[in-house]
Amino acid sequence: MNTVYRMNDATTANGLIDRSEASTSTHSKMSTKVSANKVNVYYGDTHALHDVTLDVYSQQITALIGPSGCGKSTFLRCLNRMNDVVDGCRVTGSIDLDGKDIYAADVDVVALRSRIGMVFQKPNPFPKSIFENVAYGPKIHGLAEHRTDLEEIVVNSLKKAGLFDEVKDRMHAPATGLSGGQQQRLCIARTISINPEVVLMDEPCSALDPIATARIEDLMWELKENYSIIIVTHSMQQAARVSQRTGFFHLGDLVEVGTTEKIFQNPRDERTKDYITGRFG
Amino acid sequence: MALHFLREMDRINQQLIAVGGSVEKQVNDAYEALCSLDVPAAQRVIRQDEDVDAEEVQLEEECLKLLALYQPVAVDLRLIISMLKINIDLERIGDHAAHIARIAIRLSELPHIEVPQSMHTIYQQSKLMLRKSLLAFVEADSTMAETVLRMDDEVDALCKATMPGQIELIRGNPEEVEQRLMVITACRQLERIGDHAANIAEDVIYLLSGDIIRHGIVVRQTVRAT
Repeated sequence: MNTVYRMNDATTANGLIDRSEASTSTHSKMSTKVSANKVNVYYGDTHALHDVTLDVYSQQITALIGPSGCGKSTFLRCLNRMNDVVDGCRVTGSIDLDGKDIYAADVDVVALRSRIGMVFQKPNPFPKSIFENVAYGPKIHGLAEHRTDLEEIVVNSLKKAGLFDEVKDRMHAPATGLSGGQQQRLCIARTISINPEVVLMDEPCSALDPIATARIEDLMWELKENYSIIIVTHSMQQAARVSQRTGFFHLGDLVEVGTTEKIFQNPRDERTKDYITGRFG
Repeated sequence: MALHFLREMDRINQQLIAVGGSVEKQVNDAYEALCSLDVPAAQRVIRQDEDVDAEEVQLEEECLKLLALYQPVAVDLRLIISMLKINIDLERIGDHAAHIARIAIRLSELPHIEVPQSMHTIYQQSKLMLRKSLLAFVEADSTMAETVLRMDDEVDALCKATMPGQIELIRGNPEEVEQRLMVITACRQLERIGDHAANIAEDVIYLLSGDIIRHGIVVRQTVRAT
Protein backbone atom coordinates (compact mmCIF):
# COMPACT_ATOMS: atom_id res chain seq x y z
CA MET A 1 0.00 0.00 0.00
CA ASN A 2 1.36 3.34 -0.93
CA THR A 3 1.85 6.10 1.53
CA VAL A 4 -1.20 8.20 2.17
CA TYR A 5 -0.22 11.84 2.29
CA ARG A 6 -2.00 13.49 5.16
CA MET A 7 -2.63 17.13 4.60
CA ASN A 8 -1.93 18.53 8.01
CA ASP A 9 0.14 21.68 7.82
CA ALA A 10 2.94 20.49 10.05
CA THR A 11 4.14 17.46 8.16
CA THR A 12 3.79 15.62 4.96
CA ALA A 13 4.74 12.04 4.40
CA ASN A 14 7.77 10.72 2.54
CA GLY A 15 9.92 13.61 3.63
CA LEU A 16 8.30 16.00 1.17
CA ILE A 17 8.73 19.69 1.78
CA ASP A 18 6.83 20.88 4.78
CA ARG A 19 4.27 23.33 3.57
CA SER A 20 4.32 25.44 6.71
CA GLU A 21 8.08 25.76 6.33
CA ALA A 22 7.72 26.75 2.71
CA SER A 23 5.22 29.42 3.62
CA THR A 24 7.62 31.04 6.07
CA SER A 25 10.53 30.93 3.68
CA THR A 26 11.66 34.26 2.34
CA HIS A 27 11.46 32.75 -1.14
CA SER A 28 8.08 31.16 -0.58
CA LYS A 29 6.43 33.31 -3.20
CA MET A 30 8.66 31.85 -5.84
CA SER A 31 9.27 28.33 -4.55
CA THR A 32 8.41 25.70 -7.12
CA LYS A 33 5.42 23.58 -6.18
CA VAL A 34 4.81 21.68 -9.38
CA SER A 35 7.44 21.17 -12.01
CA ALA A 36 6.52 19.71 -15.39
CA ASN A 37 9.39 18.63 -17.56
CA LYS A 38 9.06 17.68 -21.24
CA VAL A 39 5.52 16.42 -20.82
CA ASN A 40 4.05 14.78 -23.91
CA VAL A 41 0.52 13.46 -24.09
CA TYR A 42 -0.82 11.10 -26.74
CA TYR A 43 -4.44 10.14 -27.27
CA GLY A 44 -3.90 7.03 -29.37
CA ASP A 45 -2.03 8.31 -32.41
CA THR A 46 -2.80 11.93 -31.67
CA HIS A 47 0.08 13.83 -30.16
CA ALA A 48 -1.81 16.32 -27.99
CA LEU A 49 0.97 17.94 -25.97
CA HIS A 50 4.53 18.51 -27.11
CA ASP A 51 7.40 18.74 -24.63
CA VAL A 52 5.65 21.01 -22.16
CA THR A 53 8.00 22.31 -19.50
CA LEU A 54 6.46 24.54 -16.87
CA ASP A 55 7.05 25.37 -13.22
CA VAL A 56 4.15 26.32 -10.98
CA TYR A 57 5.03 28.32 -7.90
CA SER A 58 3.59 28.23 -4.40
CA GLN A 59 1.11 30.87 -3.35
CA GLN A 60 0.51 32.00 -6.87
CA ILE A 61 -2.24 31.70 -9.43
CA THR A 62 -1.01 30.42 -12.75
CA ALA A 63 -3.38 30.88 -15.67
CA LEU A 64 -3.29 28.70 -18.76
CA ILE A 65 -4.81 30.28 -21.83
CA GLY A 66 -5.12 29.33 -25.47
CA PRO A 67 -7.70 28.51 -28.13
CA SER A 68 -9.92 25.45 -27.87
CA GLY A 69 -8.05 22.23 -28.42
CA CYS A 70 -4.65 23.76 -27.67
CA GLY A 71 -3.90 21.30 -24.87
CA LYS A 72 -4.34 23.46 -21.79
CA SER A 73 -7.02 21.26 -20.20
CA THR A 74 -5.07 18.14 -21.20
CA PHE A 75 -2.06 19.56 -19.38
CA LEU A 76 -4.19 20.42 -16.35
CA ARG A 77 -5.53 16.88 -16.21
CA CYS A 78 -1.98 15.52 -16.26
CA LEU A 79 -1.28 17.32 -13.01
CA ASN A 80 -3.58 15.13 -10.94
CA ARG A 81 -3.43 12.15 -13.26
CA MET A 82 -6.99 12.53 -14.46
CA ASN A 83 -5.75 11.38 -17.85
CA ASP A 84 -5.10 7.95 -16.36
CA VAL A 85 -8.78 7.20 -16.77
CA VAL A 86 -8.88 8.23 -20.43
CA ASP A 87 -8.62 5.21 -22.73
CA GLY A 88 -5.59 5.30 -25.01
CA CYS A 89 -4.04 8.25 -23.23
CA ARG A 90 -0.30 8.07 -22.68
CA VAL A 91 1.81 10.59 -20.79
CA THR A 92 5.60 10.86 -21.03
CA GLY A 93 8.05 13.20 -19.34
CA SER A 94 7.90 14.00 -15.68
CA ILE A 95 5.71 16.04 -13.36
CA ASP A 96 7.08 16.63 -9.88
CA LEU A 97 5.10 17.78 -6.89
CA ASP A 98 7.50 19.13 -4.29
CA GLY A 99 10.29 17.39 -6.16
CA LYS A 100 8.64 13.97 -6.28
CA ASP A 101 7.46 12.48 -9.56
CA ILE A 102 3.69 12.06 -9.44
CA TYR A 103 3.90 9.39 -12.15
CA ALA A 104 6.30 7.25 -10.10
CA ALA A 105 5.19 3.66 -9.61
CA ASP A 106 4.77 4.01 -5.86
CA VAL A 107 2.42 6.97 -5.97
CA ASP A 108 -1.09 6.40 -4.68
CA VAL A 109 -3.27 8.25 -7.16
CA VAL A 110 -6.13 8.72 -4.70
CA ALA A 111 -3.77 10.27 -2.19
CA LEU A 112 -2.23 12.39 -4.94
CA ARG A 113 -5.65 13.76 -5.87
CA SER A 114 -6.21 14.73 -2.28
CA ARG A 115 -3.09 16.88 -2.56
CA ILE A 116 -4.03 18.25 -5.95
CA GLY A 117 -7.71 19.08 -5.97
CA MET A 118 -9.78 20.03 -8.97
CA VAL A 119 -12.73 22.29 -9.69
CA PHE A 120 -14.52 21.71 -12.95
CA GLN A 121 -16.17 23.92 -15.52
CA LYS A 122 -19.69 22.90 -14.55
CA PRO A 123 -20.54 22.87 -10.85
CA ASN A 124 -20.98 19.21 -9.97
CA PRO A 125 -22.30 18.89 -6.41
CA PHE A 126 -23.15 15.40 -5.25
CA PRO A 127 -26.89 14.75 -4.93
CA LYS A 128 -26.55 15.12 -1.18
CA SER A 129 -26.94 17.87 1.36
CA ILE A 130 -24.68 20.91 1.44
CA PHE A 131 -23.06 19.55 4.60
CA GLU A 132 -22.51 16.10 3.15
CA ASN A 133 -20.94 17.50 -0.01
CA VAL A 134 -18.20 19.16 1.99
CA ALA A 135 -17.94 16.40 4.60
CA TYR A 136 -17.51 13.68 2.02
CA GLY A 137 -13.78 14.17 1.36
CA PRO A 138 -12.68 14.55 4.99
CA LYS A 139 -14.69 11.44 5.82
CA ILE A 140 -13.16 9.16 3.20
CA HIS A 141 -9.69 10.49 3.90
CA GLY A 142 -10.15 10.04 7.63
CA LEU A 143 -9.40 13.63 8.47
CA ALA A 144 -11.95 13.86 11.28
CA GLU A 145 -12.15 11.57 14.26
CA HIS A 146 -15.30 12.98 15.76
CA ARG A 147 -18.44 14.55 14.44
CA THR A 148 -17.44 17.89 15.94
CA ASP A 149 -14.13 17.78 14.04
CA LEU A 150 -16.01 17.10 10.85
CA GLU A 151 -18.41 19.96 11.49
CA GLU A 152 -15.49 22.26 12.10
CA ILE A 153 -13.87 21.26 8.83
CA VAL A 154 -17.15 21.77 6.94
CA VAL A 155 -17.78 25.18 8.48
CA ASN A 156 -14.21 26.34 7.91
CA SER A 157 -14.22 25.13 4.32
CA LEU A 158 -17.52 26.86 3.62
CA LYS A 159 -16.17 30.03 5.23
CA LYS A 160 -12.98 29.91 3.16
CA ALA A 161 -15.11 29.44 0.06
CA GLY A 162 -17.18 32.48 1.03
CA LEU A 163 -20.38 30.46 1.16
CA PHE A 164 -21.02 29.84 4.86
CA ASP A 165 -23.14 32.90 5.56
CA GLU A 166 -25.43 32.06 2.68
CA VAL A 167 -26.01 28.44 3.67
CA LYS A 168 -25.56 28.28 7.43
CA ASP A 169 -29.31 28.00 8.00
CA ARG A 170 -29.82 25.20 5.50
CA MET A 171 -26.78 22.99 5.82
CA HIS A 172 -28.86 19.88 5.36
CA ALA A 173 -30.80 21.10 2.35
CA PRO A 174 -29.94 19.52 -1.03
CA ALA A 175 -26.88 21.09 -2.62
CA THR A 176 -28.58 20.98 -6.00
CA GLY A 177 -30.96 23.67 -4.76
CA LEU A 178 -28.17 26.26 -4.70
CA SER A 179 -27.62 28.74 -7.51
CA GLY A 180 -24.88 28.05 -10.08
CA GLY A 181 -22.43 30.42 -8.41
CA GLN A 182 -23.18 28.97 -4.98
CA GLN A 183 -22.79 25.43 -6.32
CA GLN A 184 -19.39 26.32 -7.74
CA ARG A 185 -18.30 27.80 -4.40
CA LEU A 186 -19.60 24.64 -2.74
CA CYS A 187 -17.41 22.61 -5.09
CA ILE A 188 -14.46 24.81 -4.12
CA ALA A 189 -15.32 24.25 -0.43
CA ARG A 190 -15.46 20.52 -1.13
CA THR A 191 -12.07 20.68 -2.83
CA ILE A 192 -10.37 22.59 -0.04
CA SER A 193 -12.04 20.57 2.73
CA ILE A 194 -9.30 17.95 2.44
CA ASN A 195 -6.65 20.65 2.56
CA PRO A 196 -4.98 20.16 -0.81
CA GLU A 197 -1.75 21.92 -1.73
CA VAL A 198 -2.62 22.62 -5.33
CA VAL A 199 -6.02 23.51 -6.73
CA LEU A 200 -6.67 22.98 -10.41
CA MET A 201 -9.53 24.94 -11.92
CA ASP A 202 -10.81 24.10 -15.37
CA GLU A 203 -12.79 27.12 -16.58
CA PRO A 204 -14.50 27.45 -13.20
CA CYS A 205 -16.50 30.53 -14.13
CA SER A 206 -17.59 29.79 -17.66
CA ALA A 207 -21.07 28.77 -16.52
CA LEU A 208 -21.46 31.68 -14.11
CA ASP A 209 -22.80 35.21 -14.37
CA PRO A 210 -20.44 38.20 -13.85
CA ILE A 211 -21.35 38.63 -10.17
CA ALA A 212 -20.75 34.96 -9.34
CA THR A 213 -17.57 35.13 -11.42
CA ALA A 214 -16.32 38.11 -9.42
CA ARG A 215 -16.97 36.21 -6.17
CA ILE A 216 -15.01 33.20 -7.39
CA GLU A 217 -12.17 35.47 -8.52
CA ASP A 218 -12.07 37.21 -5.13
CA LEU A 219 -12.05 33.82 -3.53
CA MET A 220 -9.14 32.69 -5.68
CA TRP A 221 -7.19 35.74 -4.52
CA GLU A 222 -7.77 34.76 -0.92
CA LEU A 223 -7.06 31.09 -1.47
CA LYS A 224 -3.76 31.69 -3.21
CA GLU A 225 -2.21 32.62 0.13
CA ASN A 226 -2.48 28.97 1.09
CA TYR A 227 -2.63 27.07 -2.17
CA SER A 228 -1.03 26.98 -5.57
CA ILE A 229 -3.83 27.56 -8.04
CA ILE A 230 -3.73 26.68 -11.70
CA ILE A 231 -6.64 27.91 -13.73
CA VAL A 232 -7.53 27.13 -17.31
CA THR A 233 -9.64 29.92 -18.72
CA HIS A 234 -10.97 31.12 -22.02
CA SER A 235 -11.41 34.57 -20.61
CA MET A 236 -8.21 36.49 -21.11
CA GLN A 237 -9.53 39.28 -18.93
CA GLN A 238 -9.98 36.73 -16.17
CA ALA A 239 -6.42 35.45 -16.63
CA ALA A 240 -5.19 39.04 -16.52
CA ARG A 241 -7.26 39.86 -13.44
CA VAL A 242 -6.48 36.91 -11.23
CA SER A 243 -3.16 35.34 -12.16
CA GLN A 244 0.43 36.22 -11.42
CA ARG A 245 1.81 34.00 -14.17
CA THR A 246 0.29 33.08 -17.49
CA GLY A 247 1.13 30.33 -19.93
CA PHE A 248 -0.11 30.40 -23.50
CA PHE A 249 -0.77 27.10 -25.25
CA HIS A 250 -1.21 26.69 -28.98
CA LEU A 251 -1.59 23.47 -30.97
CA GLY A 252 -0.19 21.41 -28.13
CA ASP A 253 2.83 23.63 -27.49
CA LEU A 254 3.41 25.82 -24.48
CA VAL A 255 4.34 28.82 -26.58
CA GLU A 256 5.18 31.28 -23.85
CA VAL A 257 5.03 31.58 -20.10
CA GLY A 258 5.84 34.58 -18.00
CA THR A 259 4.47 37.05 -15.54
CA THR A 260 0.91 37.95 -16.39
CA GLU A 261 1.95 41.58 -16.59
CA LYS A 262 4.55 40.75 -19.19
CA ILE A 263 2.32 38.42 -21.23
CA PHE A 264 -0.48 40.98 -21.43
CA GLN A 265 1.66 44.06 -21.96
CA ASN A 266 4.46 42.87 -24.11
CA PRO A 267 4.41 39.21 -25.09
CA ARG A 268 7.54 37.86 -26.69
CA ASP A 269 5.99 35.49 -29.19
CA GLU A 270 3.95 36.67 -32.17
CA ARG A 271 1.43 33.87 -31.65
CA THR A 272 0.80 34.99 -28.08
CA LYS A 273 0.39 38.56 -29.23
CA ASP A 274 -2.00 37.54 -32.00
CA TYR A 275 -4.08 35.45 -29.61
CA ILE A 276 -4.40 37.87 -26.74
CA THR A 277 -5.13 40.78 -29.06
CA GLY A 278 -7.85 38.76 -30.78
CA ARG A 279 -6.08 38.46 -34.13
CA PHE A 280 -6.80 34.75 -34.14
CA GLY A 281 -8.42 32.08 -32.03
CA MET B 1 -14.84 42.22 -32.65
CA ALA B 2 -11.15 42.27 -33.46
CA LEU B 3 -11.62 43.69 -36.93
CA HIS B 4 -13.95 46.41 -35.75
CA PHE B 5 -11.55 47.27 -32.96
CA LEU B 6 -8.60 47.44 -35.34
CA ARG B 7 -10.53 49.73 -37.67
CA GLU B 8 -11.43 52.00 -34.78
CA MET B 9 -7.86 52.09 -33.58
CA ASP B 10 -6.60 52.84 -37.07
CA ARG B 11 -9.11 55.65 -37.47
CA ILE B 12 -7.97 57.28 -34.20
CA ASN B 13 -4.37 56.81 -35.26
CA GLN B 14 -5.02 58.62 -38.56
CA GLN B 15 -6.82 61.37 -36.71
CA LEU B 16 -3.89 61.79 -34.35
CA ILE B 17 -1.42 61.93 -37.23
CA ALA B 18 -3.61 64.62 -38.83
CA VAL B 19 -3.52 66.60 -35.57
CA GLY B 20 0.26 66.18 -35.61
CA GLY B 21 0.35 67.75 -39.08
CA SER B 22 -1.86 70.65 -37.96
CA VAL B 23 0.31 71.29 -34.92
CA GLU B 24 3.47 71.27 -37.01
CA LYS B 25 1.93 73.87 -39.28
CA GLN B 26 0.79 75.86 -36.26
CA VAL B 27 4.37 75.96 -34.94
CA ASN B 28 5.76 77.02 -38.31
CA ASP B 29 3.09 79.67 -38.79
CA ALA B 30 3.64 80.98 -35.27
CA TYR B 31 7.36 81.33 -35.81
CA GLU B 32 6.94 83.02 -39.17
CA ALA B 33 4.47 85.41 -37.59
CA LEU B 34 7.05 86.12 -34.89
CA CYS B 35 9.80 86.83 -37.40
CA SER B 36 7.64 88.98 -39.65
CA LEU B 37 5.55 90.44 -36.79
CA ASP B 38 2.51 89.54 -38.87
CA VAL B 39 -0.44 90.17 -36.54
CA PRO B 40 -3.23 88.62 -38.69
CA ALA B 41 -1.12 85.46 -39.13
CA ALA B 42 -0.48 85.31 -35.37
CA GLN B 43 -4.21 85.67 -34.71
CA ARG B 44 -4.89 82.78 -37.08
CA VAL B 45 -2.46 80.60 -35.08
CA ILE B 46 -4.27 81.48 -31.84
CA ARG B 47 -7.63 80.61 -33.36
CA GLN B 48 -6.21 77.36 -34.73
CA ASP B 49 -5.22 76.39 -31.19
CA GLU B 50 -8.87 76.20 -30.22
CA ASP B 51 -9.39 73.54 -32.90
CA VAL B 52 -6.41 71.56 -31.59
CA ASP B 53 -7.82 71.77 -28.05
CA ALA B 54 -11.17 70.43 -29.23
CA GLU B 55 -9.47 67.64 -31.19
CA GLU B 56 -7.47 66.69 -28.12
CA VAL B 57 -10.61 66.18 -26.05
CA GLN B 58 -12.28 64.23 -28.81
CA LEU B 59 -9.26 61.96 -29.35
CA GLU B 60 -9.00 61.30 -25.64
CA GLU B 61 -12.66 60.32 -25.49
CA GLU B 62 -12.18 57.94 -28.41
CA CYS B 63 -9.17 56.31 -26.76
CA LEU B 64 -11.00 55.94 -23.44
CA LYS B 65 -13.93 54.40 -25.26
CA LEU B 66 -11.66 51.78 -26.83
CA LEU B 67 -10.10 51.00 -23.45
CA ALA B 68 -13.49 50.63 -21.80
CA LEU B 69 -15.15 48.61 -24.53
CA TYR B 70 -12.36 46.31 -25.67
CA GLN B 71 -9.91 46.03 -22.76
CA PRO B 72 -6.98 45.87 -25.18
CA VAL B 73 -3.71 44.22 -24.24
CA ALA B 74 -0.12 44.01 -25.50
CA VAL B 75 0.68 46.13 -28.55
CA ASP B 76 -2.92 47.36 -28.80
CA LEU B 77 -2.81 48.60 -25.22
CA ARG B 78 0.57 50.23 -25.81
CA LEU B 79 -0.69 51.92 -28.96
CA ILE B 80 -3.73 53.39 -27.24
CA ILE B 81 -1.68 54.53 -24.25
CA SER B 82 0.88 56.07 -26.61
CA MET B 83 -1.84 57.80 -28.59
CA LEU B 84 -3.32 59.21 -25.39
CA LYS B 85 0.05 60.59 -24.33
CA ILE B 86 1.08 61.87 -27.74
CA ASN B 87 -2.30 63.58 -27.97
CA ILE B 88 -1.55 65.51 -24.77
CA ASP B 89 1.92 66.49 -26.02
CA LEU B 90 0.53 67.71 -29.32
CA GLU B 91 -2.03 69.85 -27.54
CA ARG B 92 0.71 71.37 -25.38
CA ILE B 93 2.81 72.07 -28.46
CA GLY B 94 -0.22 73.86 -29.88
CA ASP B 95 -0.39 75.93 -26.69
CA HIS B 96 3.27 76.89 -27.07
CA ALA B 97 2.67 77.89 -30.70
CA ALA B 98 -0.24 80.06 -29.57
CA HIS B 99 1.98 81.61 -26.91
CA ILE B 100 4.62 82.42 -29.53
CA ALA B 101 1.87 83.97 -31.66
CA ARG B 102 0.82 86.17 -28.74
CA ILE B 103 4.46 87.23 -28.31
CA ALA B 104 4.49 88.16 -32.01
CA ILE B 105 1.44 90.37 -31.51
CA ARG B 106 2.97 92.08 -28.48
CA LEU B 107 6.35 92.56 -30.19
CA SER B 108 4.60 94.17 -33.16
CA GLU B 109 3.43 96.89 -30.79
CA LEU B 110 6.91 97.60 -29.44
CA PRO B 111 10.02 99.14 -31.07
CA HIS B 112 11.74 96.61 -33.27
CA ILE B 113 14.78 94.71 -31.98
CA GLU B 114 17.12 92.22 -33.61
CA VAL B 115 16.43 88.68 -32.44
CA PRO B 116 19.40 86.43 -31.69
CA GLN B 117 20.53 83.91 -34.28
CA SER B 118 20.33 81.17 -31.64
CA MET B 119 16.54 81.57 -31.54
CA HIS B 120 16.40 80.57 -35.20
CA THR B 121 18.59 77.57 -34.45
CA ILE B 122 16.40 76.55 -31.51
CA TYR B 123 13.37 76.84 -33.78
CA GLN B 124 14.98 74.81 -36.55
CA GLN B 125 16.05 72.10 -34.14
CA SER B 126 12.73 71.91 -32.29
CA LYS B 127 10.86 71.84 -35.58
CA LEU B 128 13.08 69.01 -36.78
CA MET B 129 12.56 67.15 -33.51
CA LEU B 130 8.81 67.45 -33.88
CA ARG B 131 8.96 66.27 -37.47
CA LYS B 132 11.19 63.32 -36.63
CA SER B 133 9.16 62.28 -33.58
CA LEU B 134 5.96 62.23 -35.63
CA LEU B 135 7.73 60.38 -38.41
CA ALA B 136 9.08 57.87 -35.88
CA PHE B 137 5.49 57.31 -34.70
CA VAL B 138 4.08 56.95 -38.21
CA GLU B 139 6.88 54.69 -39.41
CA ALA B 140 7.35 52.82 -36.11
CA ASP B 141 11.04 53.74 -36.19
CA SER B 142 12.72 53.51 -32.79
CA THR B 143 16.11 54.58 -34.19
CA MET B 144 14.62 57.85 -35.30
CA ALA B 145 12.95 58.25 -31.90
CA GLU B 146 16.33 57.82 -30.22
CA THR B 147 17.76 60.52 -32.50
CA VAL B 148 15.10 62.91 -31.24
CA LEU B 149 16.06 62.20 -27.64
CA ARG B 150 19.68 63.03 -28.38
CA MET B 151 18.68 66.29 -30.12
CA ASP B 152 16.75 67.38 -27.04
CA ASP B 153 19.94 67.81 -25.02
CA GLU B 154 21.38 70.08 -27.74
CA VAL B 155 18.29 72.27 -27.80
CA ASP B 156 18.26 72.54 -24.02
CA ALA B 157 21.91 73.61 -24.03
CA LEU B 158 21.31 76.10 -26.84
CA CYS B 159 18.41 77.67 -24.98
CA LYS B 160 20.44 77.96 -21.81
CA ALA B 161 23.34 79.53 -23.69
CA THR B 162 21.06 82.20 -25.19
CA MET B 163 20.07 83.65 -21.83
CA PRO B 164 23.34 85.38 -20.73
CA GLY B 165 23.61 87.34 -24.02
CA GLN B 166 20.03 88.56 -23.74
CA ILE B 167 20.49 89.57 -20.11
CA GLU B 168 23.61 91.49 -21.13
CA LEU B 169 21.62 93.28 -23.84
CA ILE B 170 18.93 94.20 -21.30
CA ARG B 171 21.60 95.72 -19.06
CA GLY B 172 22.99 97.72 -21.99
CA ASN B 173 19.58 98.81 -23.32
CA PRO B 174 17.07 98.86 -20.46
CA GLU B 175 14.40 100.36 -22.71
CA GLU B 176 14.35 97.05 -24.63
CA VAL B 177 13.67 95.00 -21.52
CA GLU B 178 10.17 93.95 -22.54
CA GLN B 179 11.19 92.92 -26.06
CA ARG B 180 14.17 90.97 -24.72
CA LEU B 181 12.03 89.21 -22.13
CA MET B 182 9.64 88.35 -24.96
CA VAL B 183 12.52 86.89 -26.96
CA ILE B 184 13.70 84.86 -23.97
CA THR B 185 10.15 83.57 -23.48
CA ALA B 186 9.88 82.70 -27.16
CA CYS B 187 13.15 80.75 -26.95
CA ARG B 188 11.81 78.96 -23.91
CA GLN B 189 8.54 78.14 -25.73
CA LEU B 190 10.48 76.74 -28.69
CA GLU B 191 12.64 74.70 -26.37
CA ARG B 192 9.50 73.34 -24.67
CA ILE B 193 8.23 72.27 -28.09
CA GLY B 194 11.43 70.23 -28.37
CA ASP B 195 10.73 68.72 -24.94
CA HIS B 196 7.29 67.60 -26.03
CA ALA B 197 8.74 66.15 -29.23
CA ALA B 198 11.13 64.20 -27.00
CA ASN B 199 8.14 62.97 -24.97
CA ILE B 200 6.55 61.76 -28.18
CA ALA B 201 9.79 59.97 -29.06
CA GLU B 202 9.75 58.27 -25.64
CA ASP B 203 6.19 57.16 -26.27
CA VAL B 204 7.24 55.70 -29.62
CA ILE B 205 9.97 53.71 -27.88
CA TYR B 206 7.44 52.47 -25.32
CA LEU B 207 5.02 51.59 -28.10
CA LEU B 208 7.61 49.57 -29.97
CA SER B 209 9.52 47.93 -27.15
CA GLY B 210 7.41 48.20 -24.00
CA ASP B 211 10.36 49.96 -22.34
CA ILE B 212 9.60 53.09 -20.35
CA ILE B 213 12.39 55.63 -20.89
CA ARG B 214 11.83 58.79 -18.95
CA HIS B 215 13.75 61.15 -16.67
CA GLY B 216 16.88 59.19 -17.55
CA ILE B 217 15.25 56.07 -16.08
CA VAL B 218 14.89 52.99 -18.19
CA VAL B 219 12.29 50.44 -17.11
CA ARG B 220 12.74 47.50 -19.39
CA GLN B 221 10.19 44.77 -19.87
CA THR B 222 12.36 41.81 -19.00
CA VAL B 223 11.72 38.61 -20.85
CA ARG B 224 11.44 35.55 -18.69
CA ALA B 225 12.71 32.36 -20.25
CA THR B 226 10.16 29.59 -20.56
